[in-house]
Amino acid sequence: MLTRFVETSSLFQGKLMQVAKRQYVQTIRKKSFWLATLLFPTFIIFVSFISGYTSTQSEKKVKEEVAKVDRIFVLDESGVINSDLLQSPYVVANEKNAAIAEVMQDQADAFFYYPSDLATGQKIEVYTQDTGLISYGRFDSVARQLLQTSILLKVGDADLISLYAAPIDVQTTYYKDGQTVSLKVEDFIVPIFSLVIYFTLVFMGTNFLLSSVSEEKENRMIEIVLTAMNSRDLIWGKIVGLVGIVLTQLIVLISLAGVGLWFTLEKLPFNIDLAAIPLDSFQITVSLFFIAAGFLMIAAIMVGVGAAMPTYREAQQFSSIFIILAIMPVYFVTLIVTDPTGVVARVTSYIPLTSPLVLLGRSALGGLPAWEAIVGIVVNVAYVVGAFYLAFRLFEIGSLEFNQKLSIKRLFHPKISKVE
Amino acid sequence: MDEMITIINFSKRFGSVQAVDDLSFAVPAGSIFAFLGANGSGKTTTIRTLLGIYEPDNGELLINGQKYQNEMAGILGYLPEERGLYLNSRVLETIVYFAQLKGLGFEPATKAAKDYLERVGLSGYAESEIKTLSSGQQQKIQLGIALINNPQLLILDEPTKGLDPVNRDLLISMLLELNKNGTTVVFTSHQMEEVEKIADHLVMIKDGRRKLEGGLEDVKNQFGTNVIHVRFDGDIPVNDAMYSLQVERSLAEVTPKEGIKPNEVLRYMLDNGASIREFDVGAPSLHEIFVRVQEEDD
Repeated sequence: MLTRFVETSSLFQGKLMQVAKRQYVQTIRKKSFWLATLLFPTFIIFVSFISGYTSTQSEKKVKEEVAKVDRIFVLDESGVINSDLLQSPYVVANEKNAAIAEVMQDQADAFFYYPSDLATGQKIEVYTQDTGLISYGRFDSVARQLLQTSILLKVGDADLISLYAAPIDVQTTYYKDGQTVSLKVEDFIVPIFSLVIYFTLVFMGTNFLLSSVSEEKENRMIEIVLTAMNSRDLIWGKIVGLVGIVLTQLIVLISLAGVGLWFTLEKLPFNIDLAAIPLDSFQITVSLFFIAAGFLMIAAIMVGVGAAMPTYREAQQFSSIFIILAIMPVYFVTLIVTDPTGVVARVTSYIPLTSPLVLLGRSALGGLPAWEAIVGIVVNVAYVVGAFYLAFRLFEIGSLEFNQKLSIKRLFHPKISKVE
Repeated sequence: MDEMITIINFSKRFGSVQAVDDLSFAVPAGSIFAFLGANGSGKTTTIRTLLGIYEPDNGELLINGQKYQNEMAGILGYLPEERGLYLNSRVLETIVYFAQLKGLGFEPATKAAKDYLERVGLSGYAESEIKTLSSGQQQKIQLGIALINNPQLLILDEPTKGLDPVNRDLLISMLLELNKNGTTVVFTSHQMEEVEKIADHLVMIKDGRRKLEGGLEDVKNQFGTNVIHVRFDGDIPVNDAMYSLQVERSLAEVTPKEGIKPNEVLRYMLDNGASIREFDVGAPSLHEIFVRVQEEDD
């Protein structure tokens, strides 16, 4: 129904929009598009389920094993363990090797040995049967707990013992520029949403553009297309189509996330008040700009690579270099988060491929002063213009080189291709 | 006769290679024009430059007196030498897409595409993916993309390459019909018999330079009218002093030396045991002319 609407809509009558329409319809009709779109959330749900299930199963097994325990030998040479605690299933051992032998012969579930130099060595020895990988360490916390409880009993104050065992709530107040800063879950909604849009646009969406440009070349249709429209309109048409594709992806992902949240909202360990989400128009505008800049920069690279390489497979391999460079800030994320105005954050803010993501992140973290945001915008405009200049050159020359890679020499030869 | 295409002093160089050198010729409106030359002689470069895909180094290339603009796509049909199709797309939508790029609205484009598919016997494949079609059927789709806008000017770069005889005849009949309705047809081909069958004008180039141009008969007559075509059985005698010989299976094209008359050649052949089935005197074939032009030293 959606493709039918796109085919007949008067919105799509110009040549550029014809290309956009074709790009959109052809892509969303592919099974691979829906697979790629749905695979990501499905993968997350699957991994969460597996992780939760295995964790529950492990806990269950450990609990079962602990419930079955009927004899644990304890030998305390440190003198710290409170003898009142050594009730069944604990049994006081008299000799270390004999207790170990009992465990080895499966006559006891475990043996805890507290050496005489416990205070300086800070080591407890635990001996038990191997009952499977997930049961490893099942008595470690028991042995440790026995020691800690014994120490607390020496304090002798029931309130202090209770306080020690209680889950302490820490309330922190932050100040910035003399003002109290309130950190709420809602504060992170817009930045997280910006990053999701950025990654969807840049890393999922642009691959469709690469495949589309390579398709024109591999299928030998480009020569006919170029008699009806110039290469720039063709590229812009593809990019407009790509934006539609990514918006569709985002709508699907957000809808799925919304449905997921609807069912799990009450189970979350925190509350989300949608009305309390801060909407800072400057930050949103800057974020949108850096998202657009990152998208256009990678889109231009995909166009250039698709035009320069003879096949989609080769183009995909070559383009991965640029994708890796563009996600490089992820490796520096700790440095950027801990010090958004530090050297690493500032340097990567002005390197062509890393710039949009780092500036977007810094803006989200509140680590991007207004003057730097303006410099970042100017620099990114220059990068995008430069990237498109090269992309158009590569496309004009490379799109008709059906069987060979494009040389750098040809790229900068002034009279080789069509001049717009 | 008005000129549909005018090329004046066109030159184009790719690096150290001079692809086309000071080429000039004109294509009369309403003609079926053969653009001939060996591989690498500059035909495709000339066509691409004429259609604005390349920029000329020198010269003018005009259609209807104007430099080609994309807005002129509505009058053009083009089938390039390097041609393919969007294999994962459906038949009807592909033709409609190109018709719309040429300026047709969605409804007229759909109607024209359906009419074309009906005509070439592919209406049952309108919603099929192109990759499921045979190569002959795919070639019909390629041709349909070129013809869908009923063009005033149809440029076909080696249109019969890879076609079987049935589809070749279908193509030729369609070209003749289009031409009858006013379409100027420009095509390149290495099949000289085919060119003789349908072209009325031609230009022949070598190494990017024009060698011959004019009406088909005028060009042939430039190469004399006493070339002998002999169809024979067995062997044909050789006599370098009397004539030169081009033999292809049981057909020979014999060019008498100066002062030697055709009947002397016939007598010599019969006296030397030749079994002649046909003997015809006239202008050389285009094949012979093509070979001579390409082999002659500059």
